[in-house]
Amino acid sequence: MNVLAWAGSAIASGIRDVGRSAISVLEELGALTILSGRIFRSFIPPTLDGRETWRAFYKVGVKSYAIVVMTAMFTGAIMVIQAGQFVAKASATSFVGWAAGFAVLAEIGPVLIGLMFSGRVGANNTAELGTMVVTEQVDALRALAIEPMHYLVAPRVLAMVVMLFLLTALGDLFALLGGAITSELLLDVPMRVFIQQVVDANLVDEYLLGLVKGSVFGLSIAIVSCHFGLTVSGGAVGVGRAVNNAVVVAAIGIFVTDLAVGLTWNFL
Amino acid sequence: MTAPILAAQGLSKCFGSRKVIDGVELNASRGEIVGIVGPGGAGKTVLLKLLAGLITPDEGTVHAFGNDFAGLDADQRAAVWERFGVLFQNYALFDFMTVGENIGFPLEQRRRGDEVGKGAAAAARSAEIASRVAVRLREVDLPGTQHLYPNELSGGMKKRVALARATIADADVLLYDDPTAGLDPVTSSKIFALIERLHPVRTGITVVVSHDIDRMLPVCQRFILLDKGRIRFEGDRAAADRSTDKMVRTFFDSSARLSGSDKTPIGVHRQFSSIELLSLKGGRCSPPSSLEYAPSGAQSKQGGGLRRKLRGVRSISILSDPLSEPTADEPTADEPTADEPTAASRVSR
Ligand SMILES: Nc1ncnc2c1ncn2[C@@H]1O[C@H](COP(=O)(O)OP(=O)(O)O)[C@@H](O)[C@H]1O
Ligand SMILES: [Mg+2]
Repeated sequence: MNVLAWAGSAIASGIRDVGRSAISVLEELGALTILSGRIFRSFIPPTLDGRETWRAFYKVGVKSYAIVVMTAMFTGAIMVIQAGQFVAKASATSFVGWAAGFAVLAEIGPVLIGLMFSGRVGANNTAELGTMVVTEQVDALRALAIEPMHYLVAPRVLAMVVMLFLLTALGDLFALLGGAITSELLLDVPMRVFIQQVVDANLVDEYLLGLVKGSVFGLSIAIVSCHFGLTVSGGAVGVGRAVNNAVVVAAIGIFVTDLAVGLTWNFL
Repeated sequence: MTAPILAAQGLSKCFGSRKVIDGVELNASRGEIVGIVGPGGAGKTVLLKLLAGLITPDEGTVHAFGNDFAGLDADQRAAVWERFGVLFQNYALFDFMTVGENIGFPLEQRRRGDEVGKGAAAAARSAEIASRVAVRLREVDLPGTQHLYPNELSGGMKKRVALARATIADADVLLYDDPTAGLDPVTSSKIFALIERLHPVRTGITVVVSHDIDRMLPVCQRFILLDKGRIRFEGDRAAADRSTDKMVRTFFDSSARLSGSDKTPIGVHRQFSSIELLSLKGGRCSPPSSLEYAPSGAQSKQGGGLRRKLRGVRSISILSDPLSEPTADEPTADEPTADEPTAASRVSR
């Protein structure tokens, strides 16, 4: 009897926990939606603070390009190794460029670059905004009649969207380079042949899809990281917690939007 | 009686289920300097931000210059905020700007609102801003620090830079949140002198949140003691002296007690061990701030002077301060050290 009662209460509390976290997820989603609306409104009129915008672009670019290039090269290499096993079995090495290129450009490249970007730039953005909240810098801006959405958030969102678009465009090329090097070293497919295969495969559509994904990931990372940064409470501990949450939610956001963009693309 | 510059009615604010501000009424009329005191966590900072329109109250209203904050649109609110100067407890210096840029920022911002000028006029304006920044920096005792970044400054320096920024644009409502926390007594006195001097007597008000009651007493006309989000006491210094509320007495003690009639011989703070055995009878004495922080090494030199000053003192309370923490070369102290800077550590024997 006792066991049953215990099991019953355990299940009940389990359901309660699930319910509670479902509610908090919905709350976060609602807050994210409201923030998105405010961000879009802050672009009207489109007069961003020049200095803040330059600073945002510079920081986002400088912070992330090296890590994106490295991620991309490894991604290309790994895809060639993966694809290589199959094409070798089927003795169809002439497909390795196509297979690796397809996977990298349309899917793996943007997602991995997005994840790295989120860990690097998104986390940094959350920490920076969170610190500004905790040290009352955001209050100080408002008390100086400056709207933080306009002054702080809009330039960052713009910088992240544009930069992740550019970094995806750049990263894809480095991924193919990494793939070409790997195929020469490990599969005995000369680099020139590999590149010719990629060109012949005519992957323009996939490349464009990847760029669209990159921009959308940039937007979702920007919104998520700004949201968690601006809602920090509870000092330095709160900033740490916010960064943690921002990275997790941004990763989920990347997978969800990846699915959404992929489906929409196929539908069109 | 002129219309109040700042008026709060029935203010309440909850964070989660906790009521941090509970039914606060506050009016400040032209020319007034209002002091807000209270224990840590009483809601002083939240109250100040409510008054500044930076936090939206759950209940009640805040009127600034006769306008209800809640009824203003973004532009009108910005216009009201242009007349505010706020010093925040955590400095709130923009860490991506230099000291000079921080202090000049309110002026730059205003200029941008006026006109986006180019050429000679703009250059002249920039030079004017730079010179005003330099003047203000000298006034807060930090000349020539324009090029430093906030992370290169000590806490006390940051406070002074924040004070310079809050006051640079000649605001009509000056709100200071703990302007002297963590500062040495000399600088604290200078800061309060500056607060008094920059007070917009004819056009506005000043509200100071502080623990530094001794320095507030001569500056503030009116005091508000906030306790757990409620106003526990409101009135001038004389009213505080008359109050029978124990908490009010504790807060305003250091001055009240020195003119008091307590017959108990006093124990004196460790830094005054050389005058500990004075027999003290009747009469008045100078304010305690001149004694509080006398360095222990200076006792022998100042002994005679202190003796004269202390004649007639029956009891001294010392506001503890980070500076009066025991150091290795001081005689060992057996009195309990207060952990809150507000707590008056009075030692009796
Ligand atoms: N943004 C916030 N979220 C939750 N609680 C807060 C927030 N701001 C202040 N509080 C709480 O309100 C109370 C009063 O804080 P505060 O006004 O900073 O006190 P103080 O009188 O020391 O300035 C504290 O208990 C604090 O924890
Ligand atoms: Mg405070």
